[in-house]
Amino acid sequence: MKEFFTVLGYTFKENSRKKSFIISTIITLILTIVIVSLPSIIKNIDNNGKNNTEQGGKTGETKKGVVFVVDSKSILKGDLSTLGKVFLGYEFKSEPTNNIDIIKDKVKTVENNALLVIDEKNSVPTFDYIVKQSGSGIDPIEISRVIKGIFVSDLLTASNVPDNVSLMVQSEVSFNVSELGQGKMNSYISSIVVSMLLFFSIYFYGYGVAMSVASEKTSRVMELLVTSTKPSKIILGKSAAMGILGLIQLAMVVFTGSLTYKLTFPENFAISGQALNFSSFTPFILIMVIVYFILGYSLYAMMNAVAGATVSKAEDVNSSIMPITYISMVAFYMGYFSLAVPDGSVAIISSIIPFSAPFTMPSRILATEVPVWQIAASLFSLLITIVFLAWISIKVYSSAILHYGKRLKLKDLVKISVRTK
Amino acid sequence: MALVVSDLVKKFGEKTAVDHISFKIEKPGVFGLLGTNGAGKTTTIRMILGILEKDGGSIQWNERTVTRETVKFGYLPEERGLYPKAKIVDQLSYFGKLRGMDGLSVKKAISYWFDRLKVSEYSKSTAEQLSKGNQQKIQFITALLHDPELIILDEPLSGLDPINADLFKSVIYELVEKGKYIVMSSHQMQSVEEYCEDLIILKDGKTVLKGNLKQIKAGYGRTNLTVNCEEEIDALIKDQGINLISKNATGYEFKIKSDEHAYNLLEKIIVSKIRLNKFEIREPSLHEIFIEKVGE
Repeated sequence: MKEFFTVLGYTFKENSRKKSFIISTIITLILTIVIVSLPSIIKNIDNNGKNNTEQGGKTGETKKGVVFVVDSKSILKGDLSTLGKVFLGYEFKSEPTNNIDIIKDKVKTVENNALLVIDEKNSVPTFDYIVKQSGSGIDPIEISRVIKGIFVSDLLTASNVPDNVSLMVQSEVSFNVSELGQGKMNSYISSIVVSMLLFFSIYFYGYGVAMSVASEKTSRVMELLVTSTKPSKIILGKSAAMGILGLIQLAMVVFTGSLTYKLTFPENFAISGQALNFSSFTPFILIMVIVYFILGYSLYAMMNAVAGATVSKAEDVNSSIMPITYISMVAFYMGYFSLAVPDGSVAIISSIIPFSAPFTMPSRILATEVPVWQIAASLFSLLITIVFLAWISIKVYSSAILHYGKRLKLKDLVKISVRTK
Repeated sequence: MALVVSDLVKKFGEKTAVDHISFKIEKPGVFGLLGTNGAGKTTTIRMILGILEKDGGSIQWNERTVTRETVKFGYLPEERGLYPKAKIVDQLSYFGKLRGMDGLSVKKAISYWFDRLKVSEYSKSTAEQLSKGNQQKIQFITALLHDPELIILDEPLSGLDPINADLFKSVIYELVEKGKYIVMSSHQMQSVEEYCEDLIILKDGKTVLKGNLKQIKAGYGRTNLTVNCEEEIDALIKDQGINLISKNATGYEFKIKSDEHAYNLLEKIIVSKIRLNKFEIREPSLHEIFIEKVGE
């Protein structure tokens, strides 16, 4: 046990003062601050933008766009003022039908111009809206609404309906949305954040274990290490040290994130009408995130240590951890897809499969009510797999670390693990 | 105490790297493990240390199988291994602690060896900042830090300048005086000859010669003659039962069948009034024995 802690302590100390660790931590923290404060930045920019247009309207600095209106059936009865009142930033000009081609040219070349060709089909108005690029200028749905308003009020007037009734008919039904449960969008985004956070930290630190093992082989320290202590102590101590480093970095990210959130997050910030906040992070979820990080990390670290031991040079680590990368990618996407239906069978299966559980279960707990038996099954399967993998890894690792030269194939590893008692 | 290696076998696929090797080290001293490149020296060492699985035979220390637990050993690997980016003092204390030392005794041992090997000034440097020779010294310290009983030195002197080589040799003598068992592999026969009492010579994994160096030499008899004189003596050695082996700036090396032949040559040299600097009848050196046994 003493050697385990010696390996742990040394690995932790050496890695925590590496430049790469310090720099990556700083970058991650800065990114966290930027991402979390993004909503307030967006809101600020939004406000500034609004102020600008208002000012522009007053001083008349911004050039008005021109919408040319061809109304051959005279649906608007030559009165473009209603349109002008609704779309303040635009000037509406009536044009005869034979000018259409010339106007099209204008629309194509001049910024902010549009052509509106109003027609009639089955006694109901219809229009072509021609712009340089769709999405620029006025929203055609808005135009449709205005034309419909004019058309309907004309129709009602023609049928001798009193004006006040006509007004009431056209008034919009107002509504308010109030949410009692968790917003779907809200928990969805939190879930993705949790899933990604777990994926990156588990992957990144697993990679660190592989690199650390391979570089000990490259520098030939390994021979000295294995003559000093048991290989199992090395692999476990090293993995634990990197795990603690990862946990510390994760904690720093979560802490910085929540601090930034508290300080900068605007109230009632919404994406597509859905309020967005992270109030759904309960202590239970935090504990689950930590537990799943530890377990998920242990699982991947064991595999990574073996992958690192199969190569002689640190440069070859990437190719040797390829299979693990594939497994973790597939597992991550399983977690990601199961977020769409957090109670579906894909979600349940992928939260019990040990490889994908860390990327699925915590985010599911965030998104929905997960039955206790599923959490228990997920933790149990993870633990069993970790113990099994650790057992195999230690066996293979002990032999693989002293192998130099060609990279060991999976076939060789199986042979080694069978031979090693 | 004794290290007993018997019938050691190691195969890599079809190739037998170590082929039924046996030897004993029964008293403190330096045991020479010699051989050409690829003869199986490092493989043998790795099996003794238990970092390579053996395919047959046994390795015992005090009648117990050698493991990390049954014997405290120090190891200087042939391919030096240090953490390139870690401070020297940190990695030394790491290795010391891994071998069961406590913080205080590690500190003491490190400062003792820093002084002894004259590397104190580098304690805060990283390994990659050191010269090859100094790295070698640090590596030597890692092998000795925890005061091991059995010390295995794989090519300890390669790459050292003469001053540092002497420093290493003096440390090795000290270790022998302290009663350490040392297994040393080397290509440098001269240095092995200086302090190896017993040795084994391997070729292609097989034992070609083993035993006590003095006895081996005595067994050969005084078959070598070294002559250094001011003039050429090639003409004098004809039909004398003397064979010329080499001739260079330091003189002539001959093989002789008996002392008589040498004395005959000496007489001729004196009669010819050739000035003589050196005339030595001696046993073959380890270097010559090695070439004869392995070079065939």
